[in-house]
Amino acid sequence: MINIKHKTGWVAYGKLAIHCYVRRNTSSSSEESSKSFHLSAKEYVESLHQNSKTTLLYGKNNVYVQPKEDVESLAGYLSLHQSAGGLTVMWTPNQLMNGCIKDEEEDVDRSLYWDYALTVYLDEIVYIHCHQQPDCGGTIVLVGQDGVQRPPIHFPKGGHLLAFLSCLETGLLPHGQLDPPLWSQRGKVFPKLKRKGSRLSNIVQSDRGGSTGSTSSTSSTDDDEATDYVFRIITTFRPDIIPPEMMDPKAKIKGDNFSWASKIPRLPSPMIQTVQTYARSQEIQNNTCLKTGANHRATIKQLCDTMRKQIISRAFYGWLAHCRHLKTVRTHLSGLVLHKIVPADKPYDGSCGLSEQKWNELQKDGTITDEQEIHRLVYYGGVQHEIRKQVWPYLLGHYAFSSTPEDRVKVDKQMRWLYEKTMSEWLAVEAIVRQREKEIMAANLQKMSSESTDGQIPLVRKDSSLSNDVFESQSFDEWEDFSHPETVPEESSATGTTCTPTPDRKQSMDLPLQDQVIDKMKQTKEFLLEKRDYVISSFSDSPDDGLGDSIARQSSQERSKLDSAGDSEGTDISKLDQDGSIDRSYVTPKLSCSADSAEADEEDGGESDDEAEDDDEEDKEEDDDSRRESLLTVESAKTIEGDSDHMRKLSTSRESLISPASPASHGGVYSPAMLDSVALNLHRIDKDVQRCDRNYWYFTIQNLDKLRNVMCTYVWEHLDIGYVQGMCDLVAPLLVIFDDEAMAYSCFCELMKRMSSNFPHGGAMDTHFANMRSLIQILDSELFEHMHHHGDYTHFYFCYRWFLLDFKRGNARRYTYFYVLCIISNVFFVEDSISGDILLDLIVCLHQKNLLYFKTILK
Amino acid sequence: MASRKKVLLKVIILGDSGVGKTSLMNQYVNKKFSNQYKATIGADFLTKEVMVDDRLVTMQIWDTAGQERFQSLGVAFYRGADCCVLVFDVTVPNTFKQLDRNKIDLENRAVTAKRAQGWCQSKGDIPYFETSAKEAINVEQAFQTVAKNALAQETEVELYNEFPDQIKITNDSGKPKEGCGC
Repeated sequence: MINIKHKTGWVAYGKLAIHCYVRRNTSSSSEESSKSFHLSAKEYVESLHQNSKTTLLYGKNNVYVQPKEDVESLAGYLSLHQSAGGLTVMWTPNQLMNGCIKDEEEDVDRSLYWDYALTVYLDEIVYIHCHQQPDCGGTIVLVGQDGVQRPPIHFPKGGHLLAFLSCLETGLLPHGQLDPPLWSQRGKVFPKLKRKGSRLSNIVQSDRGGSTGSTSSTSSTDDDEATDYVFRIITTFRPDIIPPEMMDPKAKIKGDNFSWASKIPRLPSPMIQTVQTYARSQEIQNNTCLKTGANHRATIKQLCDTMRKQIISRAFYGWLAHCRHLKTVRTHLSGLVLHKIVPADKPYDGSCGLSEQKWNELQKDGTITDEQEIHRLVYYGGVQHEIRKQVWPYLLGHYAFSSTPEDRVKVDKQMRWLYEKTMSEWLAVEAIVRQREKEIMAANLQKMSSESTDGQIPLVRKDSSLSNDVFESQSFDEWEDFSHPETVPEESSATGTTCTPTPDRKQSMDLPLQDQVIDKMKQTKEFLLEKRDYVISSFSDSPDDGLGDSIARQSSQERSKLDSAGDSEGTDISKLDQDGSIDRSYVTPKLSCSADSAEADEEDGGESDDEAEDDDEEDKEEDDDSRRESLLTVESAKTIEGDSDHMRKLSTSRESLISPASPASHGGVYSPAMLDSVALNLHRIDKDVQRCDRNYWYFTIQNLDKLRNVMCTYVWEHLDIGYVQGMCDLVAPLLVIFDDEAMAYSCFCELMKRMSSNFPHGGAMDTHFANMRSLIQILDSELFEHMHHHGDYTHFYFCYRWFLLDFKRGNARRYTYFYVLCIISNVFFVEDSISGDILLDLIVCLHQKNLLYFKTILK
Repeated sequence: MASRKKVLLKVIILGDSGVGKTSLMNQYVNKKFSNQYKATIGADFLTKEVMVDDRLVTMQIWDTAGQERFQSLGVAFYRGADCCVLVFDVTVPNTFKQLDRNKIDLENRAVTAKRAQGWCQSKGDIPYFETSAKEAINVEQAFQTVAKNALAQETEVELYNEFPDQIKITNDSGKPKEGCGC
């Protein structure tokens, strides 16, 4: 009853039934413990389980075995164990497994069953015969070395035979295997046996001849059905166990032969022959895979040889691949440079560079005669410092080499006109931006009272202090927002009028409110004056009133004018005046335009402004425009008494102005976004200009001002790109050489045609890095490896500056500015004519020097 | 885990342009302050060896360009950073706002320490220091904390974050005559 129950349980659990055994046996053991027989039985059964000595590879219940010829097949538990001694196949009749039978009679029976229990050591087994019948599972017959067949084992249907074999095959490893192996591509599958058909029948015949207990199951092989297989178990010997003489293949075969022959004396000699040939053929086959039959020492030696060869070949192929890669890299690099080598010493040594004398020689009637020669000289020897001012415009492309003096005058004139026009444009916008910032700040000042930074910085150019103010003012907002959210309503009310009482949070409590107002009015006036000065100074030569800070700007303007007059001989004062008048015509409308547009804004949203003002800064910035306007109105009304002139001018133009027809004003409407962008760029420029090459004597405040003008003009023209750090560094040497804003500007524009792609928006930097990487790899693989292993520097990000600034900065640290100019004059100009990628070229030149530099740093 | 292997910590300094990143790095590594620094282009780095809890640690400090344009470039560059120092200028709140970069300064302070500290705490208790690169106030301590935390991070073998640790350092340039010396 329990039996039945158990059986069903096993069926249900399949292979997992083994685990059921454990429980079942422990539960049933109490019943058996009374008898020693049962104890040993229990031990036996427990030995069938996975334990410390043996590994259970396979277990299956209800496997039928016919233990004796005269006994019918019995169901039992088949298990495959792996222990130190090897693999063991055990089969135990179910009657023994379920040791819970109480009947005395059955005890007798059970002792009988003990006889039936089967234990087969696979060491003794040579062949495994498999027979698959489509209707009733499969049968395995194990054939021993002695040729004796073990009782056939009948597996139930459903792939159990295959599962058993695959477990067996796994268990045989690493010292043995099935031959032919089970196919293992998609799990274990019986091998295709077409080629084995004849051999198989041979073996079967021989087996049958030698077998003592013939069974009906083997007879089916006579039909050559593909469902029958014979596997041979091949054992490779463990060298430490097997004595050397036993490893001789022939000896082994003889031994095999002998065992066969001795055990089966009836075996006819032809049969022996067959078996022998079969064994030999097997060996030959096996040689390729396991070398079973081969001398084991030889095998090991061979194995070592193979490994050595493999290692060497792998190393070789690795090296080959590396060489190929390097070759590709070389090819790539060589593609970057021009192969037409301009000789350094023909017609004469070029290393002397381009001297003034040569320069004059190479010109005829003011026109360059031999462009190539100039390039050659510059490339090999640089330009003499004194004539850089004359040569650079050519090299940079400002002048064409073939240009006549008249052409150049024309170009200069055009360039200057353009520069001044552009400058007046951005100056106007700057004024608007400043005004906007001022108003924001003024509004904040109302609340903050005093702490005005304006007073602190009289020596510095007005603009810079103002530019800080943008942030100062916002900072006040932030402060307000952060620490005093409750003052927000007050803040909004403060926008419109100047006399709102404000919460003081600094020392300013004692400051009279009146003073603030006056102070603010002063600022406004000053600002307006300043704005006007800009305009005036940009087109008038007459020394103007010049309030403090505006003098610098004006003087620089004048100076550039004078320079230009000096350079381009044709330019005269009247022309300048003419230019000036042109300028004037835009400037005025533009200023008013912007004011007008702002006024329009005010009409749209000015009303809601005060309410809408909140602590959200972004919102505030959007509103700035209209706020500014509203403030402007207020202020202009207030300040009219004081300075009148400018204000009147502004207001009249505002009234009169509806036609934003001036080309300079871009339609006269500046979007807040654009103004923000300008403000941001101005801020950045100011920040960088002040610290650009400031240790070089040339960059006094006045000259920094020029630098700023050039920079702003360029950025204004390229507002989409905006100012990017590094631009200042490129302008600086140009300005040093030309000492002329317009010229520097023009040359900078030319330069940027080539350089702009190096800036973040251009995307050329990655290419540079890649080339640099390749170059270092080729030139100094040791360094490359070093970099690779000590933190990956192969992104070469630290080279960024070299490329961006054409090596200006990296060297400026160690050399004089003069040297920098030399380098630059080479790098800037020679690229196109002499060498393809001057950067790489230069890297090669500087390689040695830089190597040391790298290595020191990296280590 | 006493001094077993030389440890390399990659520290990057981020912050808006002109807040004093270069100053800070140079003050820490070279113990020098100069008001002649230029805008950093690309990236620079210096190394300094320090002892952190008996371990010799090589700090590789990368100074980056402040302008946000450049920040987008070096993905490879940021990879593998052990620690990141955010710097802002205490006098210019915008530098705090943008990316939460850093700079506080001078007598006209605009970002309160309380505010910055609040921010740091909100981001997972990032250490916050107010420093002066000019007068070398707090610089050493700040970087020491950087090293310590980064090292702790490393030994913990935590799940790898892009920036495992952030140490916020505010740079107070002390009291230079004008502006901040960056």
